[in-house]
Amino acid sequence: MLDTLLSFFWILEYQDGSTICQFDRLSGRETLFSKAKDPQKTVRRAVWMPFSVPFAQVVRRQCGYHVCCLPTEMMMVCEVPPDGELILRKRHRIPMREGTERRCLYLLGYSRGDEAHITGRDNRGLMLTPQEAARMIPSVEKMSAKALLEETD
Amino acid sequence: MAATVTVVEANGAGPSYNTVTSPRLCVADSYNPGLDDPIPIPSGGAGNYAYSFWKHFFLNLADSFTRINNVKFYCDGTIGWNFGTGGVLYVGVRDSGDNGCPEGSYEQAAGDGTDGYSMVDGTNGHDYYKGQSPGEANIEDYTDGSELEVDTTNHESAERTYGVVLQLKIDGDSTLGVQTDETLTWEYDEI
Repeated sequence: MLDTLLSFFWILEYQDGSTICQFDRLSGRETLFSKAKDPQKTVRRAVWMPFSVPFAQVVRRQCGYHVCCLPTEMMMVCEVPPDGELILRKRHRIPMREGTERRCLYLLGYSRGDEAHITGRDNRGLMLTPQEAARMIPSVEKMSAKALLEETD
Repeated sequence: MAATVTVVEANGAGPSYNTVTSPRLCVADSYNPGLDDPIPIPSGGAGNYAYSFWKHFFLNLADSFTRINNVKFYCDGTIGWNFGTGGVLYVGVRDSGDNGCPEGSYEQAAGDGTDGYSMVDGTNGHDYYKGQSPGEANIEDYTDGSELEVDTTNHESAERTYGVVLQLKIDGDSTLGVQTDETLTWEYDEI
């Protein structure tokens, strides 16, 4: 079983134009999401950004992570509506089998009322289909189940 | 540091926890049995059953992270072992709530000297599952997109999640030998 490669890092942009990044651009020092996200501010845009080669080296040196560099066009961006709630997470999959690589899905989107919009890529940059992405959000699964019950009543 | 997550097997009365990558079901309370303690095929043909010792597996969460939750478990839908007509790879399930076993409900596996006790045996079964109805389910029922809900707790510090309890039931018409590797997968969210 191999460690997951770190393939993307997050960046948040608030309505007031200020931004915060998971890793400091110069030092590579990491900020935990819970300490970064300001509850007093509204996120306008969120990004999962692939690493450039120089930045991967900075982060690897500072944090010791195994970092994978993907093409920059694999960047994921989400414009979060003012009444939307940001969905930003990594979903890990650990197979219990010798020599099997772990997989990590980088998910990004927002929920608003009864709707949720989500996209994602895995740690190799492979894009999830809309159906795969929708299954990643429990609230969407629950909404589907509720709709089914209503149809059969 | 981000979270460092490993799969651990719990054994013994303590219990002790050991990182595992390719665990093997057998009739011993051992995380690394190799080819020792194989499950004996019952005599008398189909309809006669034997059980492995049950095994507890947990996710061990270490280092720093904001939150880990939505711990799930699944397989590819088919366990291709020659475990006979009525053979099943079981996972412990609860009637409601999370199906995973909290660390505090760990119970050391044991047997009758020939094979293991069924986890739902009314006398010698696993206390966390034997009173449930049915208390165990076929792991083949849980696949990608229809996973077993193991632990919905928000974990925000280094600790272990709820675990899964697995047990193999074999039928008397099983085929002798080492079975092919099967992939069982953990899933969790991190931010």
